[in-house]
Amino acid sequence: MIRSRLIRLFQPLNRKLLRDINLMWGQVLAVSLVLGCGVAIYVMMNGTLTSLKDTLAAYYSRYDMADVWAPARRAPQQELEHLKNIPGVRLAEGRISVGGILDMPLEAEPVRAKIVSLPDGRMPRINALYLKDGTLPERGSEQVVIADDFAEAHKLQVGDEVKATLYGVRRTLKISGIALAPEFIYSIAPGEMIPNARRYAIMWMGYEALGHAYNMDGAFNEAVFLLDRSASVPEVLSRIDVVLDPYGGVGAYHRDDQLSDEFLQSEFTQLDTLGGLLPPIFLGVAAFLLNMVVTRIVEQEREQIGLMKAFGYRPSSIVWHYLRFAGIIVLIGVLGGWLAGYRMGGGMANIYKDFYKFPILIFDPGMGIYLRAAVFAVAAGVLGVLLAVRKTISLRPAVAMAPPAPTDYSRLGQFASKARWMDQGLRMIVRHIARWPGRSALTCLGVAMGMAIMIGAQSGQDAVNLMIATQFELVSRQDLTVAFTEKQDPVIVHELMALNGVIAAEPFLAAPATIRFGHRSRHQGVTGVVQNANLNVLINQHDQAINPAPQGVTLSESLATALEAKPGDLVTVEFKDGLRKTERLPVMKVVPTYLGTPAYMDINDMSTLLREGGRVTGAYLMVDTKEVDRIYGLLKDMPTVAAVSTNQSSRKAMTDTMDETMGTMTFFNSLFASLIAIGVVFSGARISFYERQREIASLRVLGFTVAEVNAVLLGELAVLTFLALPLGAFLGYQLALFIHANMSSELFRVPTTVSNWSFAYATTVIILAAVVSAAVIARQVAKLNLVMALKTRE
Amino acid sequence: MTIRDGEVIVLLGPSGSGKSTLLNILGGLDTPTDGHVFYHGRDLTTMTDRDLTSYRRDNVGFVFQNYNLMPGLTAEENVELVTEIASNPLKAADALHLVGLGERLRHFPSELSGGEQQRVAIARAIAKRPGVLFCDEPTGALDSTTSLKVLNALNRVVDELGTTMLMVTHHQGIAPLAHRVLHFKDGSIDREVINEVQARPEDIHL
Repeated sequence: MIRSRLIRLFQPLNRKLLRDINLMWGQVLAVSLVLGCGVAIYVMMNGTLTSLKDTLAAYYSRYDMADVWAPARRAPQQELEHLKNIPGVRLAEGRISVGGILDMPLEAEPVRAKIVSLPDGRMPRINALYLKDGTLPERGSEQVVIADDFAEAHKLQVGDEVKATLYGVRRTLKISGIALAPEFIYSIAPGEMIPNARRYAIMWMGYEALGHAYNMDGAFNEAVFLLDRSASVPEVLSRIDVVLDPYGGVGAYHRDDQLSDEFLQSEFTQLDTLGGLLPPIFLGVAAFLLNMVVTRIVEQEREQIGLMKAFGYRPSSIVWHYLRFAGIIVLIGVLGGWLAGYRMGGGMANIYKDFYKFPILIFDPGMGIYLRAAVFAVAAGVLGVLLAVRKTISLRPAVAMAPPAPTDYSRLGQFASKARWMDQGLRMIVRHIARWPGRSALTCLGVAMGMAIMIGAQSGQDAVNLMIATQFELVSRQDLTVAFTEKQDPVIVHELMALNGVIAAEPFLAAPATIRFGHRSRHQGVTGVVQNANLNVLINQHDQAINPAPQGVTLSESLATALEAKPGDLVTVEFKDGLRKTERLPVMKVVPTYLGTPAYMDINDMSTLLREGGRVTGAYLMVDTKEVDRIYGLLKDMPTVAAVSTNQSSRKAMTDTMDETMGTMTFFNSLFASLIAIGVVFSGARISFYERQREIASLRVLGFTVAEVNAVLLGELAVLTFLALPLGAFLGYQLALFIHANMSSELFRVPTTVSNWSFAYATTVIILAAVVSAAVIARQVAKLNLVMALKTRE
Repeated sequence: MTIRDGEVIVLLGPSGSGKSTLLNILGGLDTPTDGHVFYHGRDLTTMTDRDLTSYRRDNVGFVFQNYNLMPGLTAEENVELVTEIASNPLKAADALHLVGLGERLRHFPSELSGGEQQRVAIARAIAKRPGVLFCDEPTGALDSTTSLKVLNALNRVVDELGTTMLMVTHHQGIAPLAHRVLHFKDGSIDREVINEVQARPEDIHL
């Protein structure tokens, strides 16, 4: 049995297969590499996505993540019974959710905290915690459980103490436990854009203690719900709103609108987009390369194919021979791709685990993803081979065995003959390209695609950079944003201005609201801002500062899109604060924004409308950089100040986060894209060399120097590469456009931008790949055995 | 062995007897394991690759059995390939007239018959006015009528330009065209025959 297998292994065709691979290992490796990149990126991206989704679902279900949240101002505990009786509600719990300020020794700036109550003596039935360390707070004590990321950022342990200002009163809180919670996977301080554990803490405190501190005994200001599977969500939401309306309910919302979950879903959408887009491109390029390699072999072996047919080999067994050749390439690519994808996926999973604070995240893409990746790779390989073998296999043996007639250039007519300024070398280059327009175009396209995916991969970083630069240099020009605990008389702005080191101050009035247009609605607060603002500025699509239009609302582009409203439309704004007025207001302007879905009004109009008498909820400050720390200290001690955020730390946090998540992804994508580009250029050059060995040898015999021959051979590579550069730039921009459009969500509108640096990087990699390939080929031209090359038949 | 300027030599012998190897060494395409080759006093065997390239460029013309034309260039352009880099070349059109292809200047190799392609190769080889013309089985792929046309073309250029020519063939019938015939056997020259009178191509039978 083994013996007969061994014999079969050394059957002539099998031996030929092994020799072919041995002879062309460089090319085999290049194509395997490209194919492997496609497989790896598919496994990595889709595997990461699957693992994230599975982990999230398990995490939510195990810790009873709420289906609905309903914030209110202050509702008595008895109302819970009404809420529980709403059809479709399986379970309801009331809790206190408030903001506080912490004084952390590691942080000069005040740190904001969100404090949520826990039922005394037990874990909540909805939104349970994963207690990593320690215990729940003792009843009535000023003990807290703190979020793991905050503990880590401030090096806190169970038993440590934290100084806090709760409702204007300084207290010392003792840490009883450290926990993770599914509802705060992605925790962002109000008004911030990015999680920052140094500057924002989530903590849990016993109901009794927190109720005392905030004067909420016997009441709750947030209800959370688990629903029956069959529940109609809109109906349940509106019934909850009816119950809580008298208690300052600001509108119940479903998990889909919960900030943490929404961020996660938008991140998943991005992964899904990239995972669906990049692997097919990579595999397509691999199929193209495989086709180039096999075409060359088949053309060179045309005579042998004729001979095999003459001996009685069936066409199918000949096709099978080449399929097996491709099969080995595919096998190397798939195995390598699986391994690399698994390793990188594990790495990505670790990054996401830390970033999202999952208790556990195991990279487990499931067999399906590996198999699908392999199927795509095999399909790419088979397609490549069939296209290459098709023509030759249909030749009659006698025709196949005869040397092919010289390539017919006559149909080009006297193309390029008239241009007397061309020398024969240039003429050969031009005619060779024109004679094989399809192949030249494909080579050009292959290089261009390589360049395009580099640009596409890089452009993610460009978009983030533009987003950050626009946000922090054009829109939020203030150094500090101060939020007050209660609405304040406008005179407070003058008081802030009077502080030594404060250069400018602008008030703002923020009110929670629901904005409706037709049957669409969004829970979106409205911010009243001053005319001719210098600190927090609205900008138009040309990045010019504009004013909020009077007598109406100015919507962000993303909000207008979500509501399908345009300037001139009347939207209904239900304010959830103060007098809780509902107004129909015209949309006056739509302004581009990259972050969130803000809505603005003129501060005076808004104040008049809400009868606030000029009161404000916060202020933007510009301060002397040397005085920053002192001003923080002052603000931190002001009882009227609920929170202070600094632009500098927001910007840094955003840049760091983006570097961590996008940076890794961009790095891998750029790496693979660069490898593919190099693979295409190098294979193209080598194939051209092999195909034209005879021409090269003839030229050398005629007395052409190595350099002159290279000029002809590599001139074509240069011309095609040169043509590919603008095409690659164009395709890269289109790809960036496509990726960004698919990555944008209501939370982030990813701007389409490709920096000059990205274009330059991609161009440089392509040119370097071409130069290195040219150098390798030039060496082979110099070493070419003229006599042997002339003996081989074309 | 010495070859005089203007001499026509035919190298005869069975496959593997060393004819082509000698031709390749003399033409600067190959280097001998032993011995020396002098061209007008310069030792080919000690030349660098660059020197060999310029030796071929300036002094040598080649004609091969399978033509080796550039398929992407017309007949005239194939010849110009050489005239562009030679120091005192014929005009490409004149070279093609000399081999009887004055009417087919603008044709691509794919539009020419085998004999015509070979005559373009000859025109290309002699357009630089080489000192020596090496022909390796120039009629090997052609029928007898076409072969005669090719031999005629070769004879004419050698006559008109006074070029030295070495032609490898296994066709006995071509031998009378030479001044000298070298018979090869097992890798060495077995015997040498001198033709007192040279035949014209029209006098021989293939």
